[in-house]
Amino acid sequence: MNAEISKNPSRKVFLVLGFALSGVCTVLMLSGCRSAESVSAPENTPNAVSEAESLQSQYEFESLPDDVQLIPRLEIELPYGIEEMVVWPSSEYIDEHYATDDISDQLPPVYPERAMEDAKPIVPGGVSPEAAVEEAEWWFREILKEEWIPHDLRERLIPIRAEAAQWSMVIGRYQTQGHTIQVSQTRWGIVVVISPAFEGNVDEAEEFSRMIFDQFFTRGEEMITLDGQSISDAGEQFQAYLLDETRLPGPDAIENWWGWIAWYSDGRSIAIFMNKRIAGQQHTPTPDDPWF
Amino acid sequence: MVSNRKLFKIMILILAITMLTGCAPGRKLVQISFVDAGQGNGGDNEHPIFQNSVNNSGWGDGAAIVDPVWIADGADNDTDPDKNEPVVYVRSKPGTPSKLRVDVVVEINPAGAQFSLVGMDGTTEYFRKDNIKATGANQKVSMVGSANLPTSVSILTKTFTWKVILTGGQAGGTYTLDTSTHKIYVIYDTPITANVEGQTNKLTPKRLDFAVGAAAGKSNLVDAANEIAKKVRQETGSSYGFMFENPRWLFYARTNDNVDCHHRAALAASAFGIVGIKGHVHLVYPTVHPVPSAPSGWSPNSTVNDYVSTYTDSRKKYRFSSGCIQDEIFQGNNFEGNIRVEDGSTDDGNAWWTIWPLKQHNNAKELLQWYASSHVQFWTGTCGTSGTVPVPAGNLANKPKIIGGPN
Repeated sequence: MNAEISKNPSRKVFLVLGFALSGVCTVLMLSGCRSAESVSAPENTPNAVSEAESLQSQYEFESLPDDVQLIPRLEIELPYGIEEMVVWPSSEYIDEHYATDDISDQLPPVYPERAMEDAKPIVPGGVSPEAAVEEAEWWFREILKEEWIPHDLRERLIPIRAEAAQWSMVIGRYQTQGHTIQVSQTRWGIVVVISPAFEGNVDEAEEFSRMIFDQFFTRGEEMITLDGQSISDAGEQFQAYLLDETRLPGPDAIENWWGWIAWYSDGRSIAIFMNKRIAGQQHTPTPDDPWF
Repeated sequence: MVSNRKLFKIMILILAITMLTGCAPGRKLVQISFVDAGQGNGGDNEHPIFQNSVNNSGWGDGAAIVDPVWIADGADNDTDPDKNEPVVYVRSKPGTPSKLRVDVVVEINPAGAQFSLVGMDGTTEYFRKDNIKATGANQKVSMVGSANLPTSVSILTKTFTWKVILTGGQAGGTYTLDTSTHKIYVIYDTPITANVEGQTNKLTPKRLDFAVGAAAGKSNLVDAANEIAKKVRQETGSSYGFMFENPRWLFYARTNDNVDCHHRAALAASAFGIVGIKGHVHLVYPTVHPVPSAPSGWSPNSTVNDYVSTYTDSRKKYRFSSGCIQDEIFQGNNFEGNIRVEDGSTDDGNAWWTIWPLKQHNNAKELLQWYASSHVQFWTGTCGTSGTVPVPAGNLANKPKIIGGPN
């Protein structure tokens, strides 16, 4: 799964890669990002009663107290500071920042310089919290296997408004069958943190990651074949990996939400950072797209 | 033996009962079905229609509406018909008139009497059938309308006054049976209901109001499609979004009206289909000449400059440059979604629309050049972004190469 970048732990290498990705993202922000190789309309609406649904209906889904953190934050920086997204906010923060009002009219879209009438924006405008939650729910269902998603998912999703609207997040987490699943999303990125019922250890983080990919992710079977580069300065308590598009087998992998950035594990949990790319998207969100 | 006096008393009694119960002596309109008018009158010109769904603000698929679509008021407390559903007919075309045909069920007494059945549209005799022999029970009378349906897409409301003319005997005369009012959707052509960009596209009153309402008054293919394209644009927002609904019509039930431009084109295809216009959704990708080779092992489609793709096929171009993978995009967008209708025009045989931005185009080449004039083309990737890549107009075919298209 992974290939060592360097025998010596090199924070610089990682930062260079991170910087390169930042550069890409800046370019994408300016020029509109990338998209589909296969552009069929995404469909993740539940099918007729499936085995997964049957399992799902048997499972209990429980909430967690807000003061529980599933995995420590990486000490090294990831592009756009998305390492912060593993942190579940405090009850006070959630209460203060819970978005109820629609301020999308204060987050206008940005149009091209030579825009024709009715042009599409380069940067889309903000949306209502309801629309953000609707989209966040869609991504939940796109990424995670059906049996790990509660029927009342939408009610469990919390729109948290940040001062900078590109950092507004929809967060949600729950526990089921001894597994804890936490998903935090901005308009551009997703961080999934999973603490499974089974335990691993940091020295076997690769195998541990594979088991989690396979068990929880809709594209887990393909994910376990990807060749991440080990980040050697992630710290003793972590194993961290990075993947860039030159290591992917083709545009299909890039365009189906695992044109991701990084993942890391402490042997008990795993955090996976991805961007919201999906085949058939006309505009791929950028880190600077405001949300709500 | 019954005496004449007793017989007279019995007859008086029967007459009194009849008067007290308020019933005419067995003459009534029972039900009406609208059916294909048949050869010379439009052929298979009447089309199935489904109820609006109970949920999703009515935009989903309901149960099939079956004949009879109109049933006279029965034993309930109101005086409305017990059933009254709309119908769909294809319009008249030059040289091919299209007419209504109804199967009217009436009960006419006395059995054996000769009668004519007439459906009046105001003062005009719209339906008429003569020399019918009454059975004294429910009997079907099939009649073709006297007038041609309009040549333009229309929503008609027609009220018919149904009369029976009894000939001969003591009951001879003209009697009004009832009136019936019908909503009739007149569409451009046979509706496109199967595989409209991958979906079944049933006709429902809600969808008919949307599409037929938009194109009402138009008898020209491009004009009708243009009005529907405008309507789809009006009913969609100003930002990007997913389309995960099936049928796509459910989009109109949601609160968020933002959706990507190619999905708007697919919505237009669904609406075109309702009125019987075949629309094809395409994606126009950035172009370049010559097209560089794709990175090793990557999709060969990305090296082909057939710049008009289908709704589901990508023709995005990738290249490997200075150790990085780059893809070609429009500023802010990966492609431009649009819809094509074959109109037989001399340039490329099609009319084209972008729904967002809303604009009609004569051909795909014009569409691409127009779009790229605002949303300019770039190569972009980890190594940075190229300057503007001009549309290689001189290297594009006059007739665009369309995947799955006519050329």
